Amino acid sequence: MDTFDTQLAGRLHDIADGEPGSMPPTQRLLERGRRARHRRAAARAGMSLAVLAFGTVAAVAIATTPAVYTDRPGVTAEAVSPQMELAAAISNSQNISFKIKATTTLQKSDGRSTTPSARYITLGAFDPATLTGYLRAADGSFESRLINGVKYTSNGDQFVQQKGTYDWLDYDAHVLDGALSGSADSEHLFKVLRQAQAKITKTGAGTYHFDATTQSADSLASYTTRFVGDLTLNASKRVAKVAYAWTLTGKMKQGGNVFNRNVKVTLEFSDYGTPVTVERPANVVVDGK
Amino acid sequence: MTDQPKALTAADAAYVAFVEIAWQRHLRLALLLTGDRWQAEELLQDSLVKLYERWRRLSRTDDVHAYLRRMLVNNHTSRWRRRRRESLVAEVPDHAGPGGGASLDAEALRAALGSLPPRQRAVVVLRHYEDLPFREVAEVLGCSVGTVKSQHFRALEKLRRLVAEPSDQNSR
Repeated sequence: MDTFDTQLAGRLHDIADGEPGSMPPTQRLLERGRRARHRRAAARAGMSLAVLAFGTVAAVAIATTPAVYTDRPGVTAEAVSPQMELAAAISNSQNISFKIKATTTLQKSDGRSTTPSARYITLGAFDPATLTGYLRAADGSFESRLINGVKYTSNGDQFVQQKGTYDWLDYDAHVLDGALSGSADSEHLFKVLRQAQAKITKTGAGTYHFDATTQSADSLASYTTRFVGDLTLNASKRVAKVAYAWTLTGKMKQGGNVFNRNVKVTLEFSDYGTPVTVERPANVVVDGK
Repeated sequence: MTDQPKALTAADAAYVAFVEIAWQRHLRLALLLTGDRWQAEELLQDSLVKLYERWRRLSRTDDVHAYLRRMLVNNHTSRWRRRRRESLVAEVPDHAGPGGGASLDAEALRAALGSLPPRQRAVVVLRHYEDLPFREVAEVLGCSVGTVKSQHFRALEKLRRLVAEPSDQNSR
């Protein structure tokens, strides 16, 4: 390089380094990115991974054994492990209508603070027999209705009838914006609980404590995910409540930056077997995509 | 939709961590490409949003920084083509410098860079700021090494003329 070339490199660094730094608007970027991805995803809504239908979730997540649970203490209950009891309880909660209340508490995403930054409450119901149900954000920002497999969604304004038919309500993609897919959702939770290394202990009549850690990695980062929480059965031996903390620790492969995320989730199930009726929304626009 | 922050998937968390690492470095690159702080932030944000859309498919990408760098350069070229005009171009005088002579003045260079077409500017920035060899510059721009060298030659000729010659002219 000649003198000019050498000076050029130096002056370019002077220009660049002379600019004051700024904080990256990560939240804004995430919101924009998610909206952009939603627009793309709208045309392929059937690809959603997360499933509200608890029975469907459980069916996928747990390779259930034949129902071994019994109300007769001392007959078989002592013969089965807490893992098998849990599987039986989930099996017992399948293929039946239910209501759900999901409360998700987010911690600040700076990787250091443990202060809650936001809380979401989502209400829903689902009947797998009639493919009818609803999901509704408590703040009114989102609603999805499913009537005999026909789905209508609204972001608080206009309802749009989605193309095709559905046998689930995509809890994750719209309500929590991808927040639960493959991470803190019940599907993943039960997959984790199924693993041999998950520690499941029976803490009382119909209550179980679980603690499980998984490792994963891709070319961007390595991740350690931990679920710690409690599951409670109702009097009918069906799942009534799951409350857990989800902690993710990641390490970027480039630069080695470590980050942490914390989410607390409470899933409350009720009204098993109660018919679910949903009204078709007025002024529906048909998705033309 | 609510403006409240959402929960993060593992992929989102990795994305945020990447943005936190990459922001300052790529903001500087964007600044050199655009010549303007506001445009630089806009360009970087748009590129990072596009990066987010592809984030989950990026697991096979070895170097995300290089991927983002390519997005910045290509997005900037596309924007320039759409606008066909940048504020700096309009402001660039025939002779950019205050007469720095053999010493290259940063402000004169900033103005002179603004007179280059975006591809030539990208070549200069990638070669002399990012310190990439011509082969990698060609990969970023999606063209041949010969084209890069040609663009580089023309760009430096123009920069020399804009930045160095004023002092010669002043001394005449």
